[in-house]
Amino acid sequence: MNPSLILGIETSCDDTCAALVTEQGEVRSNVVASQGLIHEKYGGVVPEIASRRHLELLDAVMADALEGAGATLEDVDRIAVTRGPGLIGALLVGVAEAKALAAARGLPLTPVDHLHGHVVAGTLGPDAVEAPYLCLVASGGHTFIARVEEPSSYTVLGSTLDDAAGEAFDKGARILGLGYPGGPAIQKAAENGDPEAFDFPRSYPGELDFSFSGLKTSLLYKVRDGAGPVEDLAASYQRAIVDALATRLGQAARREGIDRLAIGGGVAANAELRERLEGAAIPPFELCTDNAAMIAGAARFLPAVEYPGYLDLDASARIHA
Amino acid sequence: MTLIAFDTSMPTVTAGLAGGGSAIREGPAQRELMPAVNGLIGEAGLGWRDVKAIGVGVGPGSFTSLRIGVATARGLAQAYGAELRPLSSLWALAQNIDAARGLAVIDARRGEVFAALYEGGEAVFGPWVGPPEQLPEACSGALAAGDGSVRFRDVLEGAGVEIPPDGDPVHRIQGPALCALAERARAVPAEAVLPEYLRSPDVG
Ligand SMILES: Nc1ncnc2c1ncn2[C@@H]1O[C@H](COP(=O)(O)OP(=O)(O)O)[C@@H](O)[C@H]1O
Repeated sequence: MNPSLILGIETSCDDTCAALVTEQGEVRSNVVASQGLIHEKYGGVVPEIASRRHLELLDAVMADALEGAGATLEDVDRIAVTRGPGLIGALLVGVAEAKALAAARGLPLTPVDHLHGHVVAGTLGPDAVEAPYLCLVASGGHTFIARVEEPSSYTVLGSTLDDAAGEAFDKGARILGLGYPGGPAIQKAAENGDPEAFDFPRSYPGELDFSFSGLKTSLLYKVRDGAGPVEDLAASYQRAIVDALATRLGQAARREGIDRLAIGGGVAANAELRERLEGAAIPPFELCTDNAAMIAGAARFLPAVEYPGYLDLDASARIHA
Repeated sequence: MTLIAFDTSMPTVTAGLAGGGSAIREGPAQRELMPAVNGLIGEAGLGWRDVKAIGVGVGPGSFTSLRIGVATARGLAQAYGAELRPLSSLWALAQNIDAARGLAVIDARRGEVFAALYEGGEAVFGPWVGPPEQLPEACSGALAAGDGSVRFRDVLEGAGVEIPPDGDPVHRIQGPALCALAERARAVPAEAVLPEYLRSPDVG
């Protein structure tokens, strides 16, 4: 006998995801079909290709998630789906399938803000972080600090004005000829480099905002000028990004008077960042990158729309759900 | 056997319940499709558990809209194991044409159309995507239907194609015709039900 299970569905960017999570926050399965390599040769996610792949993969990913949880649709009490922000055509695949499945089975549906999912990913699993806490979300598409009073919502305290931190890693790796994805590549090269060899600019705009575009430009100039070795460049560049992230999170903690910290997003995998933020709640990597467990997880704190109230639910590329 | 069919290839959503009601709704598929099909089931006093087969128009047509149709069909089918039957949207449109040669034309935007020419129940040209100016001469004398024929009326009439007035119902896929097609169609595994895009993704 399974407890109440939430089926989460996430198709906002280039990963097709489904997961089963209990109302208590136990992750029963968390399946991600990554399309990353398909898009790599185009130098970024191609929305139409991503949308087509979601449709091809979603049924199989959902079936895998059910099987992995040892569950059937009979055990699912609620469906949670990412309604935005993200690529509209990609989001609509998940939203359409979620609505149809929920309606046919008469289940309630919870539309979830993708970023809310990242912010509360740390509330899943055995080492769940408890509100109030501050969360730094740093991924390929987003970088912001949120204050979480209650896990049902969050307030953004500061965010990047240009590139996301993951994007800075990815673009930096491209400049250094280190390949894709950039985060792990830079981290690896940095292991044998001197993080103080080069002085990269740190930018602290506004009160708690971020800016990484100047950093990238500075790297570009250094490489043009023949600076090296690449290990030293990578280590110094990584240090600059981690510095900005950790400094801002520390400032936010002091300003808000909250010392419980969490991080999320793909950049949370970064070893130097983890070291710097020792004490912060860091969910397992598979809950940091895009996944559906965090969507089902966020749904635990949100009201469910009862059937048939969601039949005309639309996805939304921008606004928060 | 309870069968429902729908099509989202054009800016209107068409849905029909075999032996029951049908609906045509203006507006985006994400807003109109589920209310339309759910309404048909409800009005017939049925539940989704009763639906044994789902016919879905797989295009060609608007990519996003087709994906919503297919994802919806798959979600509905998964719920209680109903079978899925993909249907050609151009052929569904051609059901409206009462002539020896019928030309189904769906607006493909960017100045192009999705088109197919049917004769004696078979496609003798297409499904094809391209500028209406480049439709083959064989289309001359055919009777057309679809939003693409309305949109490019001047070009097509200039090429000898006959087109009913703009507001004529032949330009929209009709629920009963769609159901009739679905009743004769073969079921395929869910993963094989995919849109007929006819165009490669724009990698801009
Ligand atoms: N070890 C790492 N160090 C730094 N960045 C990393 C590391 N591992 C992954 N990343 C970065 O995380 C990002 C991907 O995270 P993800 O949450 O999937 O983001 P998104 O879906 O927004 O692209 C990429 O930009 C990648 O370079």
